[in-house]
Amino acid sequence: MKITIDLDELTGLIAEGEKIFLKPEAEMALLKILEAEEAVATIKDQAKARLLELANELNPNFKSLSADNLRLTCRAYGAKFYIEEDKVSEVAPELYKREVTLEPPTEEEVNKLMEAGMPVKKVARTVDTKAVEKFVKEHRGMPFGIGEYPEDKRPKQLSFSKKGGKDE
Amino acid sequence: MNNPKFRASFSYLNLWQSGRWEEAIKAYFKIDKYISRQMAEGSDFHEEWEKHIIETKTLPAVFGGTPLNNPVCEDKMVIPVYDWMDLVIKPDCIDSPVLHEFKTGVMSSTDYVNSYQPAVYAVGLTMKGILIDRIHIHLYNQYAKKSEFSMVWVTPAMLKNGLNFIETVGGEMHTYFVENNLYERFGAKPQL
Repeated sequence: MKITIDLDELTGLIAEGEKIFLKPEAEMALLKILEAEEAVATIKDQAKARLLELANELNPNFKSLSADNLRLTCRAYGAKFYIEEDKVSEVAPELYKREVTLEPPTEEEVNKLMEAGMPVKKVARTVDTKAVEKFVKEHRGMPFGIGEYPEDKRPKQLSFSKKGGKDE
Repeated sequence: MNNPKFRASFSYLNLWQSGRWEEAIKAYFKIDKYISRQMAEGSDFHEEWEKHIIETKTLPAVFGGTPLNNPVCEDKMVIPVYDWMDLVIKPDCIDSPVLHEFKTGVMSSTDYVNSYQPAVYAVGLTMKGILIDRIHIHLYNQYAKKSEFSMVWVTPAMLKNGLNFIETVGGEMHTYFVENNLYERFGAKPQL
């Protein structure tokens, strides 16, 4: 498969601004970029998987390979250590962090915790956008205590994608 | 008076290039020679591995036990580079076209790959007419009981960089030794 992208043409289209929206050639140029990006990402993933196979065949302890212009490095991801649960009471506490996930407290419970002197560092409240949109649709108005940010104050990012494909 | 020939080795060149000039001079002229526990352990492992390779023609078990074709171990080589400099290398195991280097300790095998040591050894072997096209770094961390493997290709660019390193740093050292009469002061020949 060959994909040809004329970068000079695209640079010219960007410089002329409005023609991105008006010229069919602009659409083709952008589509070609997307196709090339997808193809390159797929080939890169395939190359990585194959190289990892070959590296493990060469030596299961493979760490790195150096050539003139390229370096391959194999890194392990994810947790490196774990705590043996039956020994947890004997593990030095400075060697691990404890994180407890509770059911979300009610406002009353949060107030009680603060009144009791619990060191509440932060209470984060995130609006459930879909629930509010449903309320607005059903009740033809905003719910009490919820505000809406003006559209022009919210940051924007342009994305483009093939029809039927996922947004970039 | 004719100046003695400078005998370059990676360890001296590396110390000098890192700015550890006093250590480089002491190491070169064998003044206050100090062997750490780690160095002693490393030497013991090297001896054990050399014996294993000679007896079995395979890599040590900690490095996978891979069969070797015609391994040659721990052969010190003195290679004339210029009329004022020899290069001294002591490759761990040559099994052409692969040079196997064995390391111990807590550094990563990648650190050795990124150093000039592979290039210096590749230059020396190439000048000696010994064909190698890659260097395998086998590292054994005796504390964590883990092994690592890294590889570096021997390329013309690598050889050029290696020779440049040897010439530049070796030249600096030799000039310093001559200008400061260190050859006369500490003995003309380094005890390699």
